[in-house]
Amino acid sequence: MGTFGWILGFLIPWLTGTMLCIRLLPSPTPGAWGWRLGYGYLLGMLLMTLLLRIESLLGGFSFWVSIALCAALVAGLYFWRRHQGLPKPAAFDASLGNSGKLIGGLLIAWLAVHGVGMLAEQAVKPIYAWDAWAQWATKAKVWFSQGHIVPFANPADWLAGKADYTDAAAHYPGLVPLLQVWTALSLGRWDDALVNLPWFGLWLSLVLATWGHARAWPLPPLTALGVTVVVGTLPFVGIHVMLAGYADLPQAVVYTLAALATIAWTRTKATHHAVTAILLLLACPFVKQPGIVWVATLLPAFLIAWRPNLGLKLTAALAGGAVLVIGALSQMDVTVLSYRLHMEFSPVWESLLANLVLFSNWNLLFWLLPVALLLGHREIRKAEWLPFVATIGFGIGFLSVVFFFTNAAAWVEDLSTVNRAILHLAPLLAFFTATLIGSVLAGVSRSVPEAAASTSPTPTNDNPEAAPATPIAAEIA
Amino acid sequence: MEMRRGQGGFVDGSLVIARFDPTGTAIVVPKVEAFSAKSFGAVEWNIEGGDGQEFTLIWQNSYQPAKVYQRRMTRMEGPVRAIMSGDPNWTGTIGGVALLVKGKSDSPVWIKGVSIIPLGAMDALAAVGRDWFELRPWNQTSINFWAGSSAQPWVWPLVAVALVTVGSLLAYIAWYWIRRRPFTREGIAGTLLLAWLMAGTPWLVTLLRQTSTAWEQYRATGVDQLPREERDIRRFLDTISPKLADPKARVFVFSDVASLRGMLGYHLLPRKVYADPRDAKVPPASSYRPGDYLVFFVRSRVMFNPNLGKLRLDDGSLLDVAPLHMSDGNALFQVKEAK
Repeated sequence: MGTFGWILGFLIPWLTGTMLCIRLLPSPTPGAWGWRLGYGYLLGMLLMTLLLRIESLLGGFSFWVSIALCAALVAGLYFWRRHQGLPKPAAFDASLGNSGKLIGGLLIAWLAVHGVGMLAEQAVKPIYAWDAWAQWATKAKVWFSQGHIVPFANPADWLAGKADYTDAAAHYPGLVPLLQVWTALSLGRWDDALVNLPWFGLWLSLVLATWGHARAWPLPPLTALGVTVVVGTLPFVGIHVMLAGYADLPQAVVYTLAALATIAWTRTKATHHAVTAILLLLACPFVKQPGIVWVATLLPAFLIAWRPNLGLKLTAALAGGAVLVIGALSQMDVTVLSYRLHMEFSPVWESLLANLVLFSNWNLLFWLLPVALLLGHREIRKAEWLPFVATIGFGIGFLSVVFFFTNAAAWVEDLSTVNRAILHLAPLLAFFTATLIGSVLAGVSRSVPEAAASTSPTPTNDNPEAAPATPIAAEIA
Repeated sequence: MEMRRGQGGFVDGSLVIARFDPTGTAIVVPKVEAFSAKSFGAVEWNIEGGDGQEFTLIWQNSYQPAKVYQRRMTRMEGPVRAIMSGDPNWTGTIGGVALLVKGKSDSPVWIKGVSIIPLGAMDALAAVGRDWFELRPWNQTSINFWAGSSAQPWVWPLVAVALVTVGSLLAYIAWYWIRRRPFTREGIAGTLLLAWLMAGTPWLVTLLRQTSTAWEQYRATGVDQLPREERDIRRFLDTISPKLADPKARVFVFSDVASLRGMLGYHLLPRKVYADPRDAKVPPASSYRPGDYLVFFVRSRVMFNPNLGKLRLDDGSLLDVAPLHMSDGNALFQVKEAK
């Protein structure tokens, strides 16, 4: 199938997911196309890994059966609510002046250069980094060659003849290898470089979804574009796109989009956010084992949205309870998700701070975070921000426990894992930081509830990107 | 050059550090005549491999000859370099320099030589700029951090951008305050975004240059352009692949270097490969079946008796094998009979 199949394998899942998102959000809200395309790629690829699992159970992978199923799904979704038609393509905000258009164009060009550079690098660079060929692509390469999923065992069990294959982490989930299996199937052969295309797709998904959420926040177009640039050009995110093969970027993108959907739902109660949040939260633990903890960090957001006052108290109780449980477990020398808890505090501040504010791995993110909190200290106390603040707080709390109270402290000092752990939270943190600054500076203090718009059955011919970003006086009760 | 700590030897004119001492360090001392610190401002070590290892320059000066000074060095494009101009201990006559390597990873190190370079003040300033914009080629530690140190410990470009941004914002606000006009929010937003783009520029430059390098390396038809580790593995695979005649037989991969073990194991898939990333030990003889292949690549302590056709394993047990390939300390055997 070659290059044609490779491109088809990229576009068909994207189209399928996007069609689903169009049916979830048919109306022309600000940033709707960014949201549809961003979530569309991720949901489409997750669906594809599910199809591959089913095909494997039924006898073996089939590229054309997968394509046919996706085509049937697209057709079904199209005819399901045919009367809605399809929303019109978005255009850039016509209300922007010439200077605004110029700045917007430059920012898009800046992002595009990043994207093209990363894609060009990825197209030729074979699987390179350690874990990629020690524990992730190992499974993908074998499953592709066998035509179905076969079990892997740890080296000791392999020596005992319990499986035909072994690698460094036989027990790790299969979702990430299946992304590579699908790409190899579409290409028709195993190619150490081209099988990594989904990592670029995930970056694209992150960028588009960020734009969608920033516009729906609602931020004005240029501010939303600034937020998108901040999230899309984090250097360490780029590293994981180019040196593809690790599960950390997929984990980061699935978690970020799940969290953004959850937080958007707490602000708007819109159906499309609820559906995407549930789907992605279900997927989180199948990407990487810590995914289950990342899902838990969103519990406070739900609680606060459910009953703001009670939710805050429950959140405080949860935080206290978590400290007690971790303290108790650490007395028992317990290992949780491969991290050995210990009560002894490991003062790795120096290494951690140097990594965050001196080295260029995260651009200026950890300089801007205090600036954002300073500028937005009043903003974040408002009801609409509290679920987001609680999520970020729990995320940072989780990372702090890992860095300061587990055997991962040593990995902070030698920089071996610290950035990969931060990567799971960093895009969400970047969105939080940039959106908070953007909200304060753009004077956006209240939210636009999208619920009414998203359930509107009939799209209009209005340009969705030109929708006014004027806040309305609606507080979340 | 000679090694004062650790073990190694010369291969093709390069000193290869094969093993670190029990403290995890190796020291390499080149033969260098004493020289004036004023006349020479930089030291460059020509090194291949060594991804993730920590390199430190050691030197002595004539003012306190009993004292040994140290400076962490940064791995940039090509050599490992230390800019010494401005260092208060880089003074008088330098009696000698040495390289301290701390084993932070399993990546092998090839040291080709050392250069002591004249450097003026302007050169030193330019070196700071290069530190920011010079290509930091991807290596095995890039997946963990892109930037992890600076060639100039007293200059942090990211901090400089942050401070300039804060200064600009304060000046901007002060200017409007003096003029008694309300400052515009767009100005602040624009300044912050500009700072982000400035701080991100080295990353973008690196990305584009790295992409260009990757196209040169990986689109080439031969293996000569590839990075050292990949080149050696590809050559070895080209040699042994035709000899792995039975595709269903199990393949055991052994190497002292975990990264080489894993990489070689990956390339041999979808054969039934054993390449334990956490343990370099060779399992006992009872683990093998007739027909199994044993691959040794950069592996010490391999003892084979060609007269008896027996391989001595790590636990001392003997295995009957047929040698299929042996060269440069690397080997491929096939098990004849398991005991």
